[in-house]
Amino acid sequence: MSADFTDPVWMYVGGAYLLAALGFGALGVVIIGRLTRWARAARMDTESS
Amino acid sequence: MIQAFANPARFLSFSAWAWPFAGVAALILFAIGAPWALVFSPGDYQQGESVRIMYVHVPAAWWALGIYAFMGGASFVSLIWRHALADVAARAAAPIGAFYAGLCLVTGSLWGAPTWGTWWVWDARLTSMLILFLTYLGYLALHAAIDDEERAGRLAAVLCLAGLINLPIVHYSVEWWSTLHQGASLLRDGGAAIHPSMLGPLLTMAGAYAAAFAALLLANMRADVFRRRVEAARLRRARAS
Repeated sequence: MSADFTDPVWMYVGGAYLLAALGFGALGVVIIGRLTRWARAARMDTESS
Repeated sequence: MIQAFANPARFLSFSAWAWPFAGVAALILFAIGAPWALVFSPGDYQQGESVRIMYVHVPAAWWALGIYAFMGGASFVSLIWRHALADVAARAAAPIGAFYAGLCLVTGSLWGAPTWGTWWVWDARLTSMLILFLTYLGYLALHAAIDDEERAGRLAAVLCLAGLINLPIVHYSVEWWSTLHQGASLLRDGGAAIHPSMLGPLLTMAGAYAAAFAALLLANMRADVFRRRVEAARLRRARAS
């Protein structure tokens, strides 16, 4: 293990990784939610017609 | 090749398995790359632990440029051949590219604070990257502002192509002007100037960002193809009744 977790610069490093993780998570939820909504609407449309 | 992928039905059957496949690849690469970057890679002899921000910052910068180039290609195809799927691809890539550019700016700022002693400077690299981020937002705003989807796609494609001029400016800004931002370490004359112990996690994280882009792009494109189908069917029914 090479990391020195006692260095105060970890506040910045941790912040960068946390923001990246939250950003990817939020973008994934929004896009997959959008896909689920429209795929369901298309399926219901096909079934009703 | 373009004709084959421009068929929406063929795209839907291809993307049905391709987007989860790319998503799983992204999760595996992040699961390998993040601990490698955060814990097992060495600190830098000058920057110490703060160099670990490089592994989230640099791939975001590379792919923010790469995604914009992809959007430029898709916009060109959309304008010349009028393929609706090309406009769908450019439109679907824009929010992901905007996120990557924004992440690059924020993580760069978090890296700049401990290493440069400042969160922001108006140097050529940072400013041109900010312009790229604003171009992404402008593209999205223009697409959203016009109700006629075909007209919105055409105008947004022209804006996207005009914005391509910024890509070489971002890349070469550190050579053309005197900047606080360091020069290229990997894509430069004379080969990579980075130790293999850092290159490994950097390329793994870059692979994870690429796979995440592929998964999110295909999922967003599928959503848009379904949306257009549903809206077209609703319009047909409204006209018939």
